[in-house]
Amino acid sequence: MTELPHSIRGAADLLRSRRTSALELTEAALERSHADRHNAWLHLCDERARAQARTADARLKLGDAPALTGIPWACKDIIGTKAIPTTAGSRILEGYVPPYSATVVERLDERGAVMLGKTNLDEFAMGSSNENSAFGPVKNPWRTDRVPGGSSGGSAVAVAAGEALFALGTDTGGSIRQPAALCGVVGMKPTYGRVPRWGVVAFASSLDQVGPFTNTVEDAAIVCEAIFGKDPNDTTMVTEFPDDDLQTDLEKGVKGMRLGVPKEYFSLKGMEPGVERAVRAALKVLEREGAKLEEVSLSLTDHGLAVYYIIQPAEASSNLARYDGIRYGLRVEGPNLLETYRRTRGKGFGPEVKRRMILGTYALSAGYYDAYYVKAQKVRTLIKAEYDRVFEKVDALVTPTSPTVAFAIGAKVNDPLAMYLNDVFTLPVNISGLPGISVPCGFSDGLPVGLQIIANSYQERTMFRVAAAYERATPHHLARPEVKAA
Amino acid sequence: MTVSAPPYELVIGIETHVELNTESKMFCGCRARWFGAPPNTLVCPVCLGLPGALPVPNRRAIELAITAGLALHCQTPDHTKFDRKNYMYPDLPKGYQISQYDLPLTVNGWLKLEGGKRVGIRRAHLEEDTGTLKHGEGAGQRYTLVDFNRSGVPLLEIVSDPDMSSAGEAERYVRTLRDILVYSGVSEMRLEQGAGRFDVNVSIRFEEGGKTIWPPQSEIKNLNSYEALRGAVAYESDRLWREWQSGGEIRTRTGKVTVGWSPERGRTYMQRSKEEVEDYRYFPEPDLVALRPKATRVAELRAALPEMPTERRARFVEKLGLSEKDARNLVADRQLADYFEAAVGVEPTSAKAVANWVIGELTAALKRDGGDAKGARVAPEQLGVLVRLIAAGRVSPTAAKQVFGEMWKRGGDPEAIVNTLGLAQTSDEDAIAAAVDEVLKANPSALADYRKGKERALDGLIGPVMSRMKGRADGAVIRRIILERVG
Ligand SMILES: [Zn+2]
Repeated sequence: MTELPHSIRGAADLLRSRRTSALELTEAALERSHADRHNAWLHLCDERARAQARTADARLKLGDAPALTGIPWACKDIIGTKAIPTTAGSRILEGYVPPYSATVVERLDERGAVMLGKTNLDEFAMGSSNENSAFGPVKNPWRTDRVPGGSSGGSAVAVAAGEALFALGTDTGGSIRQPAALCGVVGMKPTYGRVPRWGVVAFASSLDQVGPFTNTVEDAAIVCEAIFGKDPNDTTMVTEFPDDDLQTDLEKGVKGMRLGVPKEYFSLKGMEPGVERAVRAALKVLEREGAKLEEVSLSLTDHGLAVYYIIQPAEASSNLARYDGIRYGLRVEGPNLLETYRRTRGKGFGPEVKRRMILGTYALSAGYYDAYYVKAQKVRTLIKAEYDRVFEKVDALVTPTSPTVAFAIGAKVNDPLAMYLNDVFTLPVNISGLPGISVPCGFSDGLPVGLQIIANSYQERTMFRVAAAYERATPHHLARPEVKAA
Repeated sequence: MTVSAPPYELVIGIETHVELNTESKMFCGCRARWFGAPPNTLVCPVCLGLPGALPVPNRRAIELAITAGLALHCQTPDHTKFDRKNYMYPDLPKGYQISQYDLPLTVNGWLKLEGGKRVGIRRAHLEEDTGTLKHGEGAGQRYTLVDFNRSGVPLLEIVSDPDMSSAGEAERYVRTLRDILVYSGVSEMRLEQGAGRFDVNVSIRFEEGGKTIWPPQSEIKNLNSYEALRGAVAYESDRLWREWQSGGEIRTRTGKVTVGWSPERGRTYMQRSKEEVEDYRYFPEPDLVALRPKATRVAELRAALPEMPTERRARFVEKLGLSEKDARNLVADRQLADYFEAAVGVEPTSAKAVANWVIGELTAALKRDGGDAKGARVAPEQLGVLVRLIAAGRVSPTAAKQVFGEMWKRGGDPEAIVNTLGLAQTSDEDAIAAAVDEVLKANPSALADYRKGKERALDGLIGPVMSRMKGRADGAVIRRIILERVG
């Protein structure tokens, strides 16, 4: 099988020097995707991809094509795509074909990127291992008895296994960064309000953001440039922020930068020693590159999980009420309306989704609302304020992405709390609306470890600058799993 | 028929839902005027609740809601937000309704009923309407169809204090409220098109054994006409009283009940009791940011408020000398009243005459040819000039009707028409006398009757003389000359 170029940048150069065409690149990506043995894909749209590739080639011939023209990519199946089934990993959306595309998809279409298909995920993005998909678990290409992380597991694997040059995922509590870490690729979650949510199936509205999986930090910046920016259809994008050239600071290095190391992120009981070792080594690299490391305290880190598991299920319980079998998706007819609701939703939703809807409904109920939801919102404000204070002292924070490497498929399915702990380092970033990126920082037991870099709101440039400096100083991002053909 | 006073006091509060007068829906670009459109033709991902759709608030709806509040003497808080009201029903596509819970757009106002009584307005909040259900039966099966055309139409819910104490007062409140909302451009409130609905809280209070008894109230849901409001309030208050008297479960119940109204049977029916009350799990809508109406914009909206109907009627009577009846007729239609005022602007000393023309000729012409006073074929300024010509004796009232007819048909300046058609009132008494002579000659019996003492016998001659004069003579002059000739 033909290998894809290592990066978007590399592929873009090949396309412009006519050493390959968008169609050739697309055929290679389709071939690899069809041969995928990790259950990464739910739907491949070959003909649409070929048509997009031909258009891209015409555009490249004319010159003046954007960086993403002709680049094959993978779309998490929670992002709506016009005329292409969108399942959100759930039976409840069986047969649903959106009449419109998400803004992010439209933006990539306009730039001539080639969408290969839709990737597997935890149902409605609820999960950290991709075992909650109605369409079966996704396997980690580094070791196929291991999970890829979740919820955007299919997208992470499509990039890690060299099937697509980039992928889009969604990140509500770590669903891009954690699978990126577990699969050894770059994964980035933008500031809340920088990427339009229009057309993306809602999980927890105040936390959800779309972001990229890529092989390099530069590639992540290239994709972000394409998908960032206001959309009149998403009125939560309140802050006017100039359309930033996110690649500007990539080469600047970290010399003189102040990087915070939050001590609470290193004192977690469940943290694997191999992960801590790799992350501490990464800190040394950054120091050697000239950064000034400072220990900081984020004392509310422990409360993040509690706050997250109230707000996120509360919003989800309301967002998922629309799946009632009346207008689209699955319907299991009953003798009356209530029974139709019960049967449809009983069959359509998986156990984790039901668990969270029950949690959320409970938290919003009369008599409990103040004690749970209102209190969680107050603590959320405090957590955000604590990050604000820290960012007065440091330019960025450096932490592990996940406390563990990829765990065995089935190991945690019966222990939701152990599963939820996977996101303990990533979800405070969503709670605070900050940007965060995970970059590969080595291995533990032969499995990838991720380094998380968190910046202040709208400071993606700073975040990319630190990540790029680290990447230049280490070879970890070049490591690839050995993928056997089907 | 005499109506004896009921043996209890009535306490009534009303929640009024009105559709706002916007082009598009509350959170999407679909057309808001849904009435009569083919089913499910005014829909999009937002108002169908498709996955991934997000609401975009309609600025005009928010401003109309603030305007309604200002017209009702309400305060506009500087911080408000939208909330989700969660419940599942097939006409509610998202499984929640975007509404406002604890921070409504406008609070604490009042309106004045005719006669001076004030009714408090507790709050008014914005929300989106639901779709509509149509039940049917076919092939031996009952089915229900859902039409989402109405889904997402902006609704303003106006909550009154429990200040009304009779069915008549309740109706007066609703009519006054409607006048105010129509006047301020907030809503057309066409009840026959479902653009206004009322939920009415009814309770009774009375003395029994030296104690004040206040049995649990009833909420009558979804009334959509004045008749229904009158009938339901009368029926339900009486029913509460009878149930109490007969020792029904109302004596032990604590919460309110919700009832519906069946106009066909002329009675209410039970919908649910308090035990079954739903928990709507309100929480702030995370897809929308909080609203902070700008004080400067609120001030602009306040400045743009027109005079309200009650005040306008009073001014028409007191300042312009109109009768109560004429004032009411004019003010009932804001456009007609605006037209009247514009015409009076041209001829300020003849307000009564202008009112007669507007209520008479203009209304008749509009009724005949259709259309509204705004944009009528005779401009108010033209009518003002015409009335001035009459007042100045330049044209007779009879000829003026001809001039009006001509303006209505072909347009043009009233003075020019008077000249072209030769309708200017003549002062040539010789010509009038000649016409009088001709008419007297042709009507010897009238003269004979007059001579026998029937003084009014000559009145019938004025018309024929006038028509011989082609309406150009002054009626008073004709009468004088007739009397001179026969005297
Ligand atoms: Zn719509």
